[in-house]
Amino acid sequence: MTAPRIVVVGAGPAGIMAAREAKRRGAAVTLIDEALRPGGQIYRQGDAALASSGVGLPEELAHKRTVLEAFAEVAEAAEAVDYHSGATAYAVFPGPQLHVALADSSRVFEADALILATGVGERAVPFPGWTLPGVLYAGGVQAIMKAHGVRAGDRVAVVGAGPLIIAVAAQLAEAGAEIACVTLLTPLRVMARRPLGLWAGRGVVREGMAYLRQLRRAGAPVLEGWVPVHAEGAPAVESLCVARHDGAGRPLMGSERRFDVDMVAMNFGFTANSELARMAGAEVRFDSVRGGWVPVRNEFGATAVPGVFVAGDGAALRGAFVAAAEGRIVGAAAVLTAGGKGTAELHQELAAEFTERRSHQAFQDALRPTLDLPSGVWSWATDDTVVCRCEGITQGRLRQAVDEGHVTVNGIKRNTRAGMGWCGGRTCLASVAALAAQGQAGPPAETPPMRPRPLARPVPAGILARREP
Amino acid sequence: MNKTGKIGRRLGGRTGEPFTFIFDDSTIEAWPGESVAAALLAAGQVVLRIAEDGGARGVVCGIGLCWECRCVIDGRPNVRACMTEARAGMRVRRQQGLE
Ligand SMILES: Cc1cc2nc3c(=O)[nH]c(=O)nc-3n(C[C@H](O)[C@H](O)[C@H](O)COP(=O)(O)OP(=O)(O)OC[C@H]3O[C@@H](n4cnc5c(N)ncnc54)[C@H](O)[C@@H]3O)c2cc1C
Ligand code: FES
Repeated sequence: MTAPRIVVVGAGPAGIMAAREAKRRGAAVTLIDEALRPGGQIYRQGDAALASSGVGLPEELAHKRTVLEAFAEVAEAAEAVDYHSGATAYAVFPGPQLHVALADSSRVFEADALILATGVGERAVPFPGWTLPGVLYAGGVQAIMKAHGVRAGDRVAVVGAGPLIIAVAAQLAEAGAEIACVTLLTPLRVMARRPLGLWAGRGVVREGMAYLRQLRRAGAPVLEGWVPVHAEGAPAVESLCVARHDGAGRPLMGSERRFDVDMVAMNFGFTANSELARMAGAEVRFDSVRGGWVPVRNEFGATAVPGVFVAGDGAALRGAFVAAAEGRIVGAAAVLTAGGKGTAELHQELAAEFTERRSHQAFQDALRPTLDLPSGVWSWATDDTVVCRCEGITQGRLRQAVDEGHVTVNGIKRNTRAGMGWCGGRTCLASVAALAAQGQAGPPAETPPMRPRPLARPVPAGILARREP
Repeated sequence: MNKTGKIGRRLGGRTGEPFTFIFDDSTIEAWPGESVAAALLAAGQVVLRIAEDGGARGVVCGIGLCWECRCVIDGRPNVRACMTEARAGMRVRRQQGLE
């Protein structure tokens, strides 16, 4: 039998571990990533000329070494993995067949199995002033520290939900920024409801506590149960007003506090990069905390579309440890399935990997309530707040569409042009979905977004025209 | 030159020679390995674009997904500053509306 051809999109923990597992099991593996260096979002590497990749916790840095060693193993092997950096996958067709934009040309990869390990992007909740320069995503601020060794502001507010906020604030303090305030939608102590999960993640919890102590020492106020109200400044951000909320996410009048800042770092969860899976024809289900609309798949990562697998955060947000364990499961399953192995054999063969994934997943389940967004957050934007940044569509215009009876994501998009711009709709999708849900008085699950058409990412026409054989 | 420690908004060490590029009327210093966006942020330049609606915009996601950091780089419009490595002598311009 000839070696199965496995094509992996994404060189983060999930994609790297999947590639290694498939390689070890004798597959011919191609690994595609649009970033210039392997590592994915969390293990992003800077240029060798920048000594900044030490940003992070000891446990995280140890896992990063494991993942990057796995990459080195497959990249330096005799019949190395065919690795393309700076390569953007923009379409999937039946086969599966993957279309990729390289630096100056495009290329089609035919596969026996396609593993999509495309990770997540940050999710925004718009509030007045959120489009001002100097208001950034918190993970992006961290990425700029890790990959480029630059802190994006001097006096900062870090606002959002979940433990990433604490990590980014502490890392900014360490990098010399003054932390004006930190706000968390939900107090982190809600995690204590799942003591077993906390125990499973005790290493990370310990390190998170160290971050909190560091912030306390730096004199940074950590306000739990608070939300952003509005940012002001011209032309860039100069102040942020925050307030306590009513439990449903709506700011309580009279509790406002204003902080002078030159940067706001915000994060309200993540959106799965599921365009390629959806384009392939995979079904999606809605899970707000785990990434919005996420591909439906079985325990081995297989979607119902023959030969199309999904792994890591792009399948459901659960962090780097789960992503790596799952990468191993999916990489192996793709090869074994191509070789005709059945479910029972797969379970037997991958028992250890399943145990590992389950243990990391327990901690992620404990984190879950810190990331839940109550419905009131979607009312932060006022009628003149721009929600779709690419097309300049305001909350008022979107509400008008809903009032006129457009109560599905696709209906609102067609009526307003929201989500039709450069970013492909990823920035405003969660807002539009929330409005659609309010319009229907139902959960957003009932209005999944349209199956995307190529291109998943803007690609210059010249590159599309120059197709390599 | 080989600098270590914190240099303004730069953290960690830098090896290699700093160089400059042009951003509208300013000269921006950068080190090898920095993106255009990172070098601009380090210089305190946060307004990267004037959107079609007249609003000022800057870096948001830092990882190539939001397309808010689009600049005109060496004459080419709609180039993401966060995904472009800074090079000596580059000419970067704030993009005004649709270019
Ligand atoms: C900015 C940011 C910061 C984060 N910080 C943390 C943190 O501090 N701690 C934490 O636990 N988690 C963090 N996360 C969550 C993080 O996604 C996971 O912990 C982990 O990186 C998931 O691994 P993964 O392999 O599933 O995906 P990723 O690591 O995201 O890897 C996906 C890869 O796919 C590539 N890719 C995506 N689409 C395409 C395409 N169409 N064509 C080509 N390549 C593509 C990307 O370039 C990326 O390298 C962060 C996420 C983001 C977005
Ligand atoms: S900042 Fe989002 S694409 Fe550059």
